[in-house]
Amino acid sequence: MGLSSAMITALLLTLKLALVTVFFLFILCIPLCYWLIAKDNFPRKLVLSICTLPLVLPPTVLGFYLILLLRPEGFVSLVTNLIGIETLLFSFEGLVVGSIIYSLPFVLQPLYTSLKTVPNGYFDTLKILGYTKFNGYIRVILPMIRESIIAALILGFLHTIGEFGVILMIGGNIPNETGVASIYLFDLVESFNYTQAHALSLILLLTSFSLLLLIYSYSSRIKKDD
Amino acid sequence: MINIDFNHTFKKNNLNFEYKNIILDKPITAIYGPSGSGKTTLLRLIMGLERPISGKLLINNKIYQEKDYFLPPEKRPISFVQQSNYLFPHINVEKNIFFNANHGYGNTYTDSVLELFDLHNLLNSNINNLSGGQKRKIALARAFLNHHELLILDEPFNGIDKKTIHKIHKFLNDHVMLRDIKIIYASHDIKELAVISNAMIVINEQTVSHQGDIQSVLLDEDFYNLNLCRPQSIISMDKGGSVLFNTIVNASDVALSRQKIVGTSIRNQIKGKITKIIDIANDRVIVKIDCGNYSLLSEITKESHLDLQLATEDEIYCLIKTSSFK
Repeated sequence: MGLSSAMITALLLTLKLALVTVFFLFILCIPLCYWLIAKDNFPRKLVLSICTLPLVLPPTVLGFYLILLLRPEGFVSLVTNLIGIETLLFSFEGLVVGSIIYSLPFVLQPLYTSLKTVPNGYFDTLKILGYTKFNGYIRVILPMIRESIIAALILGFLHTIGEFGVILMIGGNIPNETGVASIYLFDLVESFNYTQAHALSLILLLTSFSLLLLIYSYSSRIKKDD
Repeated sequence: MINIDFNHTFKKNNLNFEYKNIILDKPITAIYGPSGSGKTTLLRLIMGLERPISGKLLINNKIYQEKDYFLPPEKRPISFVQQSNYLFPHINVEKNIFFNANHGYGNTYTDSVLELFDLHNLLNSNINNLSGGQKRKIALARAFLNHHELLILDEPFNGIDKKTIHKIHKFLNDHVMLRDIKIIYASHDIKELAVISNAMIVINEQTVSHQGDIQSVLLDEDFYNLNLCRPQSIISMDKGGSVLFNTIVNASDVALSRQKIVGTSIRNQIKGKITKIIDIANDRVIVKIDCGNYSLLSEITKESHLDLQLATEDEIYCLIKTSSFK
């Protein structure tokens, strides 16, 4: 049961997509959470609700709106036109945009929940000890909840690997560009290539399972002292 | 000297706090009041963790807050031990103690702090494996090693044994003397407070009800009529300067006698002059006696008062069992 080069291409593309997505989600969620936990008001609740939508919407709904957004006449294309790209549809960059939106709640939610459980007294203590709010957040609070951050990023990574509907709608199936593992698997099944389908499924299953096991065995809940 | 003038309202419950014209000029000032009276809110306002609706804060004539000016807490030279420890669970004891500290190793002050709290052997321990008392000591040490001109202690000795509290009290006395800093010490335990404080501020129902030196507050009729604690007086042992260890005597532990008694186990018979006799609830009477350097309060029944026919200006002996000294 050897792996075909097409399958390896699909797997590597999936890995690349998941890593790039998680990288951008990390960059996005750290300041977003800082803003979200600073106060408890309506604008923040609004943003939190919007960011959680991809968790509950059918991927097809999400895919449909992404098509509207990314199509040549769409809003995003106005910007990408400036650097000579007509549309992000059916491209790797388009998949990254879609994946960031699709996996956002899976990184944001655990991170936000974990930060919300840090007693306010810790933020006060940091001020007393001479840290500005932002400095204390970056240099002390984040390291304090590092296990939750790693868990959130792994969840985002796995969820991106498991993405299917959105990619089908905005990416199609272009080898080495948008043909990720989940889509390739669909092709294998459609062409009755069950041996290859079995191998790919097993790889995806074991990867997801072992990473989840890692999260749960590693995240010995931090006992917060208050 | 510290001048405080705050007016603050919490939006969520509309509770208004008024701390008007507070002046702290003694080394150690006690903040006393029942739970929920607003002690912690005052301390948080001084630290800058709450921003008052209006107010003024001056420490040694330097403005920390006035009108639109507000110096953020991280820039204030104040150390604050909160009621909870808030130690950082992801770093070890040593890193917690020296967290952003401006005192390092090899410094006699640092050594004396570690010695005081018995922390030398715990430095490499994990925070999560320590007892409540040990965690409290780490939180105290951290505050002591952080730069401060003012040290605020909010119920600092929860979970710490009496012997260590006594050691810390001594240390605090030296600390204020040697380094010209001020301490604000809040607690609902008046005995613990009175031992080392020079001045006292009483907070009741979100306002300052009394302030002044600790003897005069305790002897104030209005104060014990608030019924926050039992009437008690202080025998102050002022050893010059501000070093002082007070002894607190419950008014109910002081008996009165017209004559000096011979053949009794009571060791302390202090001669004084009655300055005031006040009726209080439950058919009791408080007799205020001037004993020279200090005044004592004695709580006796109305019956004894009638038997002895006490009157102001009378000379009287105050009998105190040594075991009642706290």
